[in-house]
Amino acid sequence: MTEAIRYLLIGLTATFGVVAGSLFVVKAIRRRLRGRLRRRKNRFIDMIGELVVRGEWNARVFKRYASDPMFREVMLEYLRMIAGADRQHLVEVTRGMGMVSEYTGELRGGDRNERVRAAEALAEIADPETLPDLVFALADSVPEVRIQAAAALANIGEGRAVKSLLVALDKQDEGSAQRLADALYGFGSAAVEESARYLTGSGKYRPLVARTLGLIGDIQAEDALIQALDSTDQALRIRAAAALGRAGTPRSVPYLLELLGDDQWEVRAQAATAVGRRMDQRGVPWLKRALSDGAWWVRHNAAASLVEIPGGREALRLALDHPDPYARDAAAAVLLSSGMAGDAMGDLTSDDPLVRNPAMDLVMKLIRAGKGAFFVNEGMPPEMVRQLHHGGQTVR
Amino acid sequence: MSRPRVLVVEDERIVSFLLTRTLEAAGYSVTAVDDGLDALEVGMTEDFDLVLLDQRMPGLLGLEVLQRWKAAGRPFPVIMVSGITGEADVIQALEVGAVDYIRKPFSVQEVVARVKVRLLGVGP
Repeated sequence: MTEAIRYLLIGLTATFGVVAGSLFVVKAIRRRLRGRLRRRKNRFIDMIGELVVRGEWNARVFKRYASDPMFREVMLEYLRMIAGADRQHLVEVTRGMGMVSEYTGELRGGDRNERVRAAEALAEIADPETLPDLVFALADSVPEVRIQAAAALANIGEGRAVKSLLVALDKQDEGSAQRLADALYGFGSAAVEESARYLTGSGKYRPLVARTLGLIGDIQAEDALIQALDSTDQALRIRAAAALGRAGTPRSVPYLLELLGDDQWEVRAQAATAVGRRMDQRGVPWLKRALSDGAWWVRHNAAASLVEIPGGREALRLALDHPDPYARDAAAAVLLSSGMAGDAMGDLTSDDPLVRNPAMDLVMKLIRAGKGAFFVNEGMPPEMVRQLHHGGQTVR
Repeated sequence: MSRPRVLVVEDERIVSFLLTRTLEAAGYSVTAVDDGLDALEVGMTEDFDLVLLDQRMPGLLGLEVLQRWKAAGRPFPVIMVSGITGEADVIQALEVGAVDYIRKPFSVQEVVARVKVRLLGVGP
């Protein structure tokens, strides 16, 4: 029995040794292979880099390694890293190597993985000549192919592809639509004309396009966004209002002010923010009224916008005497978060009564509005906070 | 007259290679490092006429390297090179003391032109 256990232990030890040794050998081989691949890649990086620096775009080496996957990978990396004339030359080189035609062929007729890979590569290359193939790929059955094709079209940046992108947009689920909208944003101002036209139609993703127009921030979208404010689609009104905060001019302000009376609080809240972004003094009386809105977000956004508009800060100070406690609270919260309360606390020790007295008035009102803890946290003695709460005193 | 010395701090091999070789071809003496900590050390111990400094690097971020050089009174002008292109990042880099900010991807010829402008009077 003891003998049997001994042989068993010897057997187990030997097996463990063989397994550990094999693993060590496999690891060493893999490490060596990785090192070899890295060296090979670095060789291609240096080789292509040298040709780029010398401007040797017709070098034979491009033909020689045309079908080498690693050489191609490095070419794509170069295209990702550089811009300008050198990039244009490299795009032409990839065309000459047959890379572009091979990828477009895969994009139209390859299997799923080949189509995804081809779309990714064409997004890196961004060759305007591939535009028809990429538009074709916008109807691919695989979402990732459609998304990469849209990204490629954005990288190329030619406005004539925008209409196709918007047609494709309506056929996407929400997740893919968001990614296509990202691509739309990538077009920048080249996307504005067609996107504005889309807003006036019956497209499924008009709120998403309105948002994208806001992000692009081109005032040429203003008319379409103003028109969208009249939509019965609440989501579109919200997005259009927000977008006008970025892509609007003073002309859009009266429309946004009117929106402060919308039935939906989300619309009113976005309108309040957008008016602040426009920094238009016409907004002050409207935003003051919005401080008494029934929805917290509207009150908060109106107060935050008043900080941005000339004359709005004084309106916020006065709102601390508002008969509505919700309006007082909204004003006080923003006076604190905007730094105005902290500045006023600093001014309490000023020698100039024209600075000190208004500061004192503001601090007292904020303390009475229940914001005493803020001043204590900022270093004001609790006793002084209590005194100011009960009628105030001269602080020197 | 000796060739102006440029330090290229960049961890992307492609970018580093292109900048180094193009600047060498334009007549500059180039030292390249690919790590923030190495960059800090080289910048503290050697003198350069100009530094091209990447923002995202292993070891130490470009902005941190720049802050430490400035705190130590290192006098060379620094051009930040970065794929982070937000307005706030550019402003922050300029406030810390960068003399210029180049966004990736960039035209190599444009970078060389900017370097030449910065080194007017130094040569080559």
